[in-house]
This record gives sequence, C-alpha cells and structure tokens, in this order.
Amino acid sequence: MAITDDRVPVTVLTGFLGSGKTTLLNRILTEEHGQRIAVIENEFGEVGIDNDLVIDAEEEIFEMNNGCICCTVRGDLIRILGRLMKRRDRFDRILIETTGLADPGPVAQTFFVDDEMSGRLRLDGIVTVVDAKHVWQHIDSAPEVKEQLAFADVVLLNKADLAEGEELDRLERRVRGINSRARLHRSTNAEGVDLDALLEVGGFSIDRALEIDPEFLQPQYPFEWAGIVASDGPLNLSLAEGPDPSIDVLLLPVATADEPGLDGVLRQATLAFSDEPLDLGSSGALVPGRLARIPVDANGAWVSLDLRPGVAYALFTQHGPDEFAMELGGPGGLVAPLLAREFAPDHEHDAEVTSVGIELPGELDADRLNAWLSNLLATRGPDLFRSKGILAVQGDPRRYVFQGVHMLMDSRPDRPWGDDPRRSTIVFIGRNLDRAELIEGFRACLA
Amino acid sequence: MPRMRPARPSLTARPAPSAPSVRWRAAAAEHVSAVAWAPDGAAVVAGDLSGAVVAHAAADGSGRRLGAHDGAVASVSWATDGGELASAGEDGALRRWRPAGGAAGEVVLGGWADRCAYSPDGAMLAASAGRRLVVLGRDGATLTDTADHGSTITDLEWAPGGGRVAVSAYGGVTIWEPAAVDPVARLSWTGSSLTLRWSPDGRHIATGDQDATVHYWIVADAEDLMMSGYPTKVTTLGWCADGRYLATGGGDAITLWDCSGAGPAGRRPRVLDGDETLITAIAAPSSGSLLAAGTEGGSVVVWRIGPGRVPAPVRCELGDEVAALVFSPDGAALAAGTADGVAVIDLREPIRGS
Repeated sequence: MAITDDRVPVTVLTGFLGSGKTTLLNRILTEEHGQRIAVIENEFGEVGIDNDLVIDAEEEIFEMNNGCICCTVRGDLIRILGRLMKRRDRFDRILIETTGLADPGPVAQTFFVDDEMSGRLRLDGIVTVVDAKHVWQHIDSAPEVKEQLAFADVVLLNKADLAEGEELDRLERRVRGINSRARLHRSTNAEGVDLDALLEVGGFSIDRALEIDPEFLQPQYPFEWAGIVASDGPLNLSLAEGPDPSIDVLLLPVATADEPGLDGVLRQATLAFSDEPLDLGSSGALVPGRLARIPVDANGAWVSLDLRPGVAYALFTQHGPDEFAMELGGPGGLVAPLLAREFAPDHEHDAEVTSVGIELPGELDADRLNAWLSNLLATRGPDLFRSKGILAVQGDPRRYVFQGVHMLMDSRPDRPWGDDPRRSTIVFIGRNLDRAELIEGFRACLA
Repeated sequence: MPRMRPARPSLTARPAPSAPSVRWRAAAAEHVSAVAWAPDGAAVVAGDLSGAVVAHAAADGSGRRLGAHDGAVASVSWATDGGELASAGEDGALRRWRPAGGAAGEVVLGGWADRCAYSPDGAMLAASAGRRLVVLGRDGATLTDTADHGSTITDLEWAPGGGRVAVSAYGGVTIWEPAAVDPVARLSWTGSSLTLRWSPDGRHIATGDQDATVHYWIVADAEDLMMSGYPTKVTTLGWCADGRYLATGGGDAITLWDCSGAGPAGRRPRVLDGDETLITAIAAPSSGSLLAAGTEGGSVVVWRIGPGRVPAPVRCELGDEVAALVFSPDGAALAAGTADGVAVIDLREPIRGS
C-alpha cells in the first residue's frame, strides 16, 4: 500500500549547545550519500559543502489562527522553504537546525498549518542530540531539554564515550520516562549510528502512525505485580489497609505455570484492566477473567479465589502486594506464588514531561471520540507535545490514524480491520499529563 | 448555445472576447520569480531563481542580460522615468541597473533582500531585507533605514500618490514617510500579513494573510474588516483600476469584493473560477476594467469586471506555473514569469478595448 511520496523530506535537528548537533550536521553533509541537502540554521555555523546550501535564518516565531485554534509557527521557515520549493533544481532533503534553546513545537506546527509546505514537503522526523555526560546539568533546570526530548522521534545520546555505562543506562531510563516512543541511539562524536536511522524516520507519517511499537505499551502495564498460583484446595487473598481505598485484581488461567505462561496472558490482562471493574466488596469471590475491585478499609479485606484444580492462574494486582500486606492463604497456611513478577515501571517517570499510552479493545463512538479529542486538544493543547493514534470507530470498517502536535491534528482513514480484532491505541507525550484522566476520557468514548 | 439574459441590467454587455495570443516566450535558467515592464512598454525585465536579471525586448523577446545576483532574485522594479531599474535578491543585495546594460549601483542589505519598488515619481527606491526597510534617493543617498522593523517584511508598496510606502509583516502594516524614524501609521492586528495593495485612491489597504484571511484597512482611522473562509493563505491580491473591486487569491478561485459605497461589509463576494489550480498571481491594468490571474497550473485568465454578471473570461494556457503577472503600461499585454521562463501575451480586441 506504499504510495510514492515525492515530497521532499525534512529533518529537524534539535539539541543543546555543545550536544554535538553541529558535529552531526557536519557528518551528514560530508558523508557520501549522493544527496543534495539544504540546511536552514538559526545559529551561525561554518559548514557548507559543494552542492549543499546553507541558509542562515533568523528564527521568527509568530502566533497564527488556524480555524478557531491559535498556534505558534515559524514564519522564517514558511518564507524560506516556500522559496526553496520553487527551484527547478530540487534538493533531496532539507535539514532544519534549531537553536539550542529552541522549542521544536512551532517548527513542527508549521508543517501542519501551511498548505503550501505540507503539499511539497514531508516532515520526516525530529532528531534530538543529547550530551550524555552533561545533560544532567540541564535536564531539570532547563524546560527546553525536556521539550526537545518529548518532541523527538530519535534521541541520539552523544558523547557516550564520556559517560559511564551505568550513567548511560540511567540516562536511557530517564529519556524513556519522558518519551517512551522515541528511538534511542548511542554515539560518540555523532559517529556510530547509521544515517538512515536518523534521516528516514517517518515520525510524522500518517502511514507510519500504524507502527506504534507494541514495546511502547510494555512499560505501561496497568498492574504492578503478577504471581502464578495453583492449588487443589481453596485459596484466599487477605489484604490490609493500604495507600489507596481499593485495589483492582484479575485472575487469568495460564497455559503453563512458568514465565512463558505469564507472558502469554499479559496482553489479555492489559486489555482486561481497561474494563469496568466488578465491585467485589471486602469478602467476595474472585472469578477468573473478570477485573474486580476490592475495597480495603481499616478492617482489611478477605476474598476467596475461585480456582479449578489442576489449572494454574496468574493473579494480577493493580498495586504492589507489599502496599496492602497481601497474603495468599490455603488450608495449610500461607501459600507462596509459584513465581512472581513486578511490573513497577522500570523507567523513571518524569513528573513533568511524560508519555501516556492507552490501548482499548472494542470500538469507539465517533461523536464522543470527536468531542473528547477536540476538547482535549483545545484545552490541553499547549501541554500535549505529540500525539498519535490508531482507532477503531464503530460503523467504519477502516482503521483511523491520527498524528498531532499540540492542538493541531491530521487524521485519515487507513486500511480495513478485516478479521483483526478491533482495538484503539492512543499515545500522548506532554507536560503534566493526567494519566487517569486520559484513560478515563478515552474509555468513555467506547461505543 | 442561447445567450442567457443577464440577471439584471448589465453595464458590461459586450461580445464575448476572443482568445489572447502569446506574442513570445523566452526560456530562463530557472523559475522566473519577478517581472516588470519598462514604462514605455518596450521591454520586460525578468529575475529568476538562478539570480539572472534579463531585459527582454517587448517586441520579440530578445534578451539582454543585465547582470546577476549570487542567489535567487526576489523582485524587480523599473523606475517610472525608464532611466534605471532595480532588483533584490537572496545575496542580500539591492542592485540597480542601467536599461542599456551595466550596474548603476548596489547596496548590500544583508540576509535575503526581498522586495524593491520605485516610488511613483521615480525619485525614490524602497527595499526590504528581513526586518530592514531602506528608502534610497536616486542619487543613492539613504533616506530611511530601519534596522529592525520588528518582524520580517513580506511586501511593500508605495501609496498611489507617492510620498509614503506601506510594508506588511507579522503584526499588520506600517506606513513610512521617507526620512522618518518611526512609521507614520500602524495598521495592527495579531497575525502575519503576506502581501499588501493600496486601493487606487490611497484610502484603503488590503492585505493577504497567512491565516487564510484578507484584511481591508481604512487607512485614515486604522480600522479594518476581516474577510475569512479562504481555503489557503492569501498570497496575492489586486484592485481593479476603478478602485471598486478588490480581487483576492487564497485558493483556486478569485474572490471578488465590491468595495464601493460603505465597503465590502455585508456584501456577498463573487467567485471567479480559474483552472481549478491555486491562483498564484493577480494583476490589473492602470486603467480599464480588466483583471487577470495566473495559476499554479499554468493558465493566465482575463476577465472584464463590472457591476453585473462577469462575462466568461479569456484564457491563455502557458503550461508552467505562473509566479508573476503584470499588465503592460497601455493595458494591452501581459508579461508572465513562469517556471519555464517569460511570456508576453497580447490581449486582442474586444477584451482590450475599454
């Protein structure tokens, strides 16, 4: 279904002063790739090779009304790119190097609002270069660092040779906490990464919106713990008062009582956790396959597990079992699970800028979805850096895909669902995102 | 086909015009971005994206290269006395040329020099480069030099009577008198104006804007009307010679506003279809009732505009995107800058007669 796209690809390079952005730019310009590249830079640079064109532009950000929403765009880019595109002798690629302190938002939005540009140019991706050793000095003090990371399709952890291995791992986790969908590469002197991995990203392609990496959803499990239990006799679960007034739990049969058995039901469990939980009361019976909510007050809670002999089950809990002093009891006293795994997010969630990915089975109601998304983009737009989704809309046989930057969105129908199970996936990266509110809002759109 | 009775009595009951014809076409090294007629109509100067500035004889298109910019040409202008012409280019230079050949002077403004225009009396030359506006005397002396206009100047035009020059930018329009340090008037709004045109009587300024609107300013009191609903940003507009009709691009048709009496407020505009591709240039002669448009699809379309039904236009297919379109001083021909080069089109009777 690939349609030839003869629009000229545009890559945006962001990164703090000293991150190695210019080194990377020089490498791109000098490496043998046979392409004619036009570079638009907002900081005075000294590069410029043979066929290539380097344009110094004064960054000019302005507000613009787009329909009834107001957004900021880069006027200098509209002007310069409009001119470049008229040339008979086209460039194969355009690179836009932003200043170290630039907010990538207006650059990206420019491609959404100007029809002349979106007709002739294709924003391929935002590449953010990070000084792996020194970024720690800015990551919490300069909001631009987080913005540049949040907007990125690719993050290049440069100067990796200067950082300790453990420090790099920590940085990766930190970046993942801000932007879990960007691709991460490590480099030294901007070397060691294939240029195609930086220049052929498809980060803003609606087609590629379908490629939301399932890995992305992995760290976003809605449960924090799972254990495998099996018993021929009755089992019960006792809980003491914890930090939350209730805990959601789920029991699912597994094929085998081992790690692969647990892996086999993770997806099913994730989906089940987006169902409306059944209120079990403080002494009900937990039935396999149905998400249940157990209220836990000062008296604790005690529920029985409805298990069939000879079958192993995975028990998923919304919170860590320690928080509720959870114990499994059988006729002969306490029972330890056959195996246990923690799903506490293994990346460091950034309190300020983070990613929220939601996946829901079933179909969405088009009217409610439109109302929710329009309202969300209109009211939270400034805080939503990037959004992306693949949606199943009731009454439409096709997938709906969308891409957004702040309050601007581009959407269109894509290939039909056919026999694939219908589900909707949505990803937001932004500032001060309320995960619970987003999940709640998205879930309320279910038909 | 039976003739339709006009909906109401029309002042433009003229026979259908015959097709215009191409007098000549001349290829250029690159997309021609700017054209201007010599005041006597004997030559057309063209600037292209390779930087070349070429004067073509209006009669046969034979070209004489005046010189070149080191970078694309953005605009050209021919002084009303015919004695010199000017070009602005991406090398940051404002270059002045002698019509017979050779440079008459240059000023490096820095950045990308963008717009240049001689005043109606030919005594001054205004030019922009990024945020800088300069006005030079014919002797080359600098009369005005605003190093920082606040935002990048997108277009400039002298008031019809001369004496003042208006520039458009983000934030609206500012109006300058030579030798003034500050603008004499500001027509302000929050948005980016891409192009401006004074009404022939100098009382109004229309701007085409990035946010797909047109602003119609009453210069005297700096108040405006906003026309919205355009499919795309509005990069071109023009006034018919009588000052009654404002033609605006911003899509694949011209939207024509009647600005007589109390102005366009509350009036329904007329829509003039081109060739279903983007309108890229609008031109009107200095007298008479013609209006012309060039399109991305390579058509030049000419209408006769009046208060009644607009008769079917005449068309000339050039086949290459039209970037610039200008009527000859006598209104009998059009010069077009296209992706391929330059063309001069003759408008034959009866569309020509007025």
